[in-house]
Amino acid sequence: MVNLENYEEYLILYADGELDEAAETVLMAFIAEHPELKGELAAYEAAHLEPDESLVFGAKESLLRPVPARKVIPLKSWWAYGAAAGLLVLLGVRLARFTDRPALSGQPAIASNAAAAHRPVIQQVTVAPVTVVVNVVQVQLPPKTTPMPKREATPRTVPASEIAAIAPVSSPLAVETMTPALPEAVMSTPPLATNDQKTSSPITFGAERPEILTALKDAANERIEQVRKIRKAIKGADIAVSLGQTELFTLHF
Amino acid sequence: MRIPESEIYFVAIVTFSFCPRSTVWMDVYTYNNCVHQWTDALFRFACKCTGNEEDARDIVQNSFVVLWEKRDAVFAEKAKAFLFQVAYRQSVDHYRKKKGLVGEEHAAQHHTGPDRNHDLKKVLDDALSRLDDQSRALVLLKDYEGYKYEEIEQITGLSDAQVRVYLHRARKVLKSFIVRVDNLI
Repeated sequence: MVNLENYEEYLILYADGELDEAAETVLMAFIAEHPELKGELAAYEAAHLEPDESLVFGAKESLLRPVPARKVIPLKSWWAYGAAAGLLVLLGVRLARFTDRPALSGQPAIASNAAAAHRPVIQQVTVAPVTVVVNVVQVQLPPKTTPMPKREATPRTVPASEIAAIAPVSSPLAVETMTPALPEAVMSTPPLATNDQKTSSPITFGAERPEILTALKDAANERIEQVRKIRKAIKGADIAVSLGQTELFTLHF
Repeated sequence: MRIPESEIYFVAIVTFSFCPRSTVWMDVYTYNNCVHQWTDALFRFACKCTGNEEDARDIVQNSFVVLWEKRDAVFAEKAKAFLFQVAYRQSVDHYRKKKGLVGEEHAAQHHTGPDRNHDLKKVLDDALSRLDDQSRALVLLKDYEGYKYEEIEQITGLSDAQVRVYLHRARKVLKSFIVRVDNLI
């Protein structure tokens, strides 16, 4: 609070630049109320010294400290040093990049494809889609006491369990495709008596070539897995079996 | 995550290398820069304080000798304040040793009686010589070097109240000299 008792202190602080903006505003308002104090304010503002630039020390060199001399190492063949430095940097970058990668020597070799490459190709079986029509020439059905009824206009439904008895046969009528269940029948069921003399007997290699037997077994297992997947996929679907243009029966899964 | 020591040293070295010189302790290069920057200002301060150029040169040389000896304890950005602190203390000691003689010399050199010289600068110089050594030094630190009251406290070692009292007393004296001259005009 500026008043007539302490205004002189505020004038000196203002002339020295020590007042903040709020105090300056208050002081200016007080001066406005008392114009006779403007002359006194001007006198305090004038009571500031200016540096005398004519006063110069002169011999500054006597005050300086000596700077340590820089050692100069002559490089006769500077290009050689540069090449060596560049080579070191390159090796360092390469080493850093090499150590960032995981260990290459400890990785196991990929064996799945290698083993599969050595397996002989036994049979090229295309996995048919769900709605494929298979031409089966000869079908050995279980004997029945009742005479076989006439073939109905609509193909009868055959349970899926009887499909296992169907054996793959070669016939004049070309077998375009084979059902996925056939490979399983080859390994698990005994040969069926058919009229076809060309029915192939089960494959028995025996002790002559055990490695081939193992490969055949592996291939068969793979096909079995495929069949199981397909059976899961076609669950609930229908498969129609026909002979030529005649539809024999429809399988309902 | 544990930071390896090599990383810490690398960061410290790079930071130390690229940080401005004012934030590091003084070396020979920084010291020589201070000589080029502050010698004349220090000499003017010592001259006005002592009123004698030879004594002022001694004060300036002693101040830089002390700065060189204490260079490991002084940051580069604090070098100017350190120099003026040493010069202030030597000026006060100089006046204490030559108390009576200096006062008379000042009176013989600068007293002009009823001021007839209307040059403001000369009037102020005359008024400055009339001040006590303490107030004179504070007025010089304030007007010549532009230090704030707080910085003057750190250089002189005085309290805030002491700085205000000495400076306000000096301003009133200077102002009275100006008013007196104006009245004579």
